[in-house]
Amino acid sequence: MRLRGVLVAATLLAFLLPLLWTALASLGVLPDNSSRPPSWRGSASLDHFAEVGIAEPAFWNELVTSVLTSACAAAIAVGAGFFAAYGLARAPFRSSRFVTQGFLVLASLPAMAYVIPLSDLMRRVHLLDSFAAVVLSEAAATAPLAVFVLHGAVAQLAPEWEEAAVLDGAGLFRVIGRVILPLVAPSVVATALVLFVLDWNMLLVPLVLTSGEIKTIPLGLSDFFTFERELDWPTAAAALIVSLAPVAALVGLFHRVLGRFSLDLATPA
Amino acid sequence: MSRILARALVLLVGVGVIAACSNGSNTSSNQSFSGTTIRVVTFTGPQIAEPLQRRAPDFEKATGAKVQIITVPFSDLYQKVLTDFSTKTNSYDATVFDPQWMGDYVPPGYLEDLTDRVKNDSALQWNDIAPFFRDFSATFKGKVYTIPLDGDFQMVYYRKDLLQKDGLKAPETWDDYISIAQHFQGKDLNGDGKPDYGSCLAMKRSAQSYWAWISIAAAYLQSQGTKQGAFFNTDTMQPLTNNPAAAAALTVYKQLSKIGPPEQLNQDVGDSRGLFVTGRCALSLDWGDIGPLAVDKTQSTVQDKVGAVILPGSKKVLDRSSNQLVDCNATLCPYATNGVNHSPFAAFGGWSGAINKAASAKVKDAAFAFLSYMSQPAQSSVDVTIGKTGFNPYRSSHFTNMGPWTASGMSDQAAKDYLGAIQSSLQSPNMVLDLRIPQTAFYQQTALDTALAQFLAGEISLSQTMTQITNQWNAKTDEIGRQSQLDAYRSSLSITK
Amino acid sequence: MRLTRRDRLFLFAPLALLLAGWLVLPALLGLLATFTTYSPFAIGVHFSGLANYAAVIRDPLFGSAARNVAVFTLVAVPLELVIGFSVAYLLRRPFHGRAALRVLLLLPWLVSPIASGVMWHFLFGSATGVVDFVLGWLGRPDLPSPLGDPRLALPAVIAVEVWRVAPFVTFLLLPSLASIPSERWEEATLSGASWTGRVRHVAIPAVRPLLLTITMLLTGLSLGTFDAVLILTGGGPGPATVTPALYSYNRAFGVNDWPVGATSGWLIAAAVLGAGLIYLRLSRTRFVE
Repeated sequence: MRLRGVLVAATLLAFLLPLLWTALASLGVLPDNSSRPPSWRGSASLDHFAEVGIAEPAFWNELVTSVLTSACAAAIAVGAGFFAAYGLARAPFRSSRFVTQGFLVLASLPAMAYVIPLSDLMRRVHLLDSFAAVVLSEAAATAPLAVFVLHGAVAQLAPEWEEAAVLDGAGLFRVIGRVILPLVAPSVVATALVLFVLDWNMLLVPLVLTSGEIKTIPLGLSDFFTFERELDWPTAAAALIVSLAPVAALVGLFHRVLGRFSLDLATPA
Repeated sequence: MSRILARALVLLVGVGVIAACSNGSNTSSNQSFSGTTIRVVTFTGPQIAEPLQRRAPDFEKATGAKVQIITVPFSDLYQKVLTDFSTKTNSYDATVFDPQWMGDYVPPGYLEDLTDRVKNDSALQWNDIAPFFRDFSATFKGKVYTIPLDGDFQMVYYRKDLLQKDGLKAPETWDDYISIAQHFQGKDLNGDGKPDYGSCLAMKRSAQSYWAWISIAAAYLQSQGTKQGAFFNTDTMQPLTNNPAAAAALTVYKQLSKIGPPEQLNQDVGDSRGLFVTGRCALSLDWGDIGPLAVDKTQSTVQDKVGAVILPGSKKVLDRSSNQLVDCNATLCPYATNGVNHSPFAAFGGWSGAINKAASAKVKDAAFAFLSYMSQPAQSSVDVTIGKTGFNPYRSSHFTNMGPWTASGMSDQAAKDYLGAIQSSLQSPNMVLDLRIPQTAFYQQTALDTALAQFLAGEISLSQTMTQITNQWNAKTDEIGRQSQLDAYRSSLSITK
Repeated sequence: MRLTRRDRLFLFAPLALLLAGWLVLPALLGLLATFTTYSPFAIGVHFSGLANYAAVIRDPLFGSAARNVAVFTLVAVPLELVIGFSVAYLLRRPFHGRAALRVLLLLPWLVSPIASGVMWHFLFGSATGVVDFVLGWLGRPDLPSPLGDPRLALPAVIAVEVWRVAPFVTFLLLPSLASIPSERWEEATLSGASWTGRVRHVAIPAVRPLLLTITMLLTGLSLGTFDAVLILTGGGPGPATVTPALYSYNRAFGVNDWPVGATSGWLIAAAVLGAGLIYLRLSRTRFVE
């Protein structure tokens, strides 16, 4: 038991120390590695958080854009994915599981494999640098994962649940809305949360599909490090902490439901 | 916060001083552009976009125009503007960009010819702009296409206090630079008991490494004035990258990779600047940015300890007829001082404004007025003293008008040192113009940068490096068309038969 | 319930539309374009056969990129699995504060790859870094940042990615490990199995299909490594950390060499689809059993 306590503490330290360092830097507290033993310099202040808005004037706009694009993309992907997952789970053909696994392969496909032509296509249909292009592309990139996870959730449900409703004369959408969705709601929420995080952190898709109008947080963060960079680690650290805070808060709030995000292949009931 | 307050104060003082001196000679407040919106694209960051955004409201008030500053990441600016213009999307009316890209933007006719406009705009004071920026940087094939907003070239910074104490002079040649660097390497320079570094350079891949190398190579490659060119033979378009001069520069560069911080190969200018202004390096090679940064009390521990000089030169230069390094003489190095040939390198070329030819006449007028406003001495002489703008001096009046400099916190001596180095570079008739031909990005960012990274990492030998660069450059030139590339190169150097 | 044709249309149409328009169609158009000289700026487009593929394969830089990403995948994926599994195994039984711990341990994965690149650049550095701070306490001299050393840069990049991704593996495995009935553990303990035996005979069998699925996802993630190196090393020193995705991006968007960029992008797709076939094959044999 004691060994486990030590191991858990060590793990926690290894994974969180870098973030603790970053949090301290964002407050202006930096290590002084030149002294022996190393010491700390600087006193804690929130100045660097204010500087984020000066170094990157659009940063707070980007935060809003990121929330909106990620939320919309996750909602669309989970919505489309859920319907398809239900359809697959109740499909009469035997290879539906194989198709579902095909979706996992698609979910593993890196965006780099197709964003070059995607950016050209979006330009040709005049969607470049539009909210729609970013949202739909992010949704398309993450929807296959939603299908896979939600298929697992739906396939576990015994068909008897629906049969009673069907006998009462309910149509497809009534069955889904009244019977299925309430049963798998935790999985749907968990999937939406994970997709939100994936969209929140996505760089390549917004990078190639925008030219200045639509900007998300990862694009803003990459700016802290390009070309005529001055010497602002504390400011970059503050930006990083700000960008991490919303997703960390979400995960903290919903951690119970997140346990329902499962990549397990369902054993059909 | 104090830094911001200080800057705001500097700004106020500066604007006040200048407003008092120039008694409002510039923009007429006749609201001539009311209802016109100008969309100006540049890259994201506190630099460049900041002064544009800060000054736009005043311009809007005076003219009635609406200025919209659009920012994209630096790494995407070139491609996004090119795509926008070439596909006739035309969502940008003007761009504040790297004039290196003129080679890609001017020949297809994307940029408005500004020759007559600059002549007829007295408020712009075109002749106040340093000749190099007027005649070479802003000009392509004899016509003006850009308004300079920034004077970019590289210089060497040194720790005056350290060199003085050890009886050393500022480096005149690259050999001097190396021996000074070696002298200080491993010594404790900031009193913390730990070894510091002789020289700090940006050698990270896909960053600013290749500019530093060109700054070194230029001294050996170009000695007969800007028109001689430092990249290609101006008759055959053969690259000047496989000869004793390039070899000498590579050797210097490799040596410097070892006289510096151990992680130098992963450091960009942000890192080298950080090390220099915290007193950890005796020497550095950089754009004008270190000057204002070194007086910034919130980050710098070397205020008034920094000197700047023109890029070191060489006593031997490439004789192009024999393809050998030979000693300088009056015919070979007409611009040499004390037998040393200096070739200050206008790396990158300085952010400049250009106008989309496809914009409507009214918008073009308004865009020109805005770019002119930004460049006029009243505005620019303050902006160039603020480190964060990324704007460096490029006008004669930036050197004569000392008010904004001392207001920014530089001591008289520091301002004189800093401006002296800039001025001697700017006035040099042997300034090296950065490469401006179609696909410049391939020649430099891809071919040159990759080869240098491989060379520094010890993956390829010196001769392999030279062959690799030369072959890749030649292959690209032949792919695009040797004659058209040659024409573009000669145009950029304003060579007319 | 029995789905009618119309039901199925309703159910699949949104996803089909989304994937067709924003993933499959662009990917296939891109594939087509790799056999031509197409670029958005090109005036005339003509068929060029396999010339683009030849250009990519012959480019030594792409060779380095392919080698790097192979090493990256072969080292990072197993490490992520082993570390992720170990931590999940450690936390499999409930204890006070486990829920909070789970949330805290997921934090590294919430950091975007680009932000983790910015962060680790400084954390590896000697002036403000965590590595040298710890070494300083131990009385050891500073270590220069491994990112500046051609031999250590790739291992360092891998370590950063493992730091970021292993917590996600833990997150995915923990519910399944925690839901193994306690009798199974007791049986194993009673029958004298050591802890390695318990891992092999109780834990692993319970999560085997899940591990296979996670391996597939991680493999795709590794083969597409882009933002994790974009800022951290820019691909350097030398070509030590260039990846095919970075190569594609630089070609297509940095220097406008559209055909080469799109072609190497498709080579990444091919590698992932190849891995996907193996995955489908492996999971299929399991069902036949």
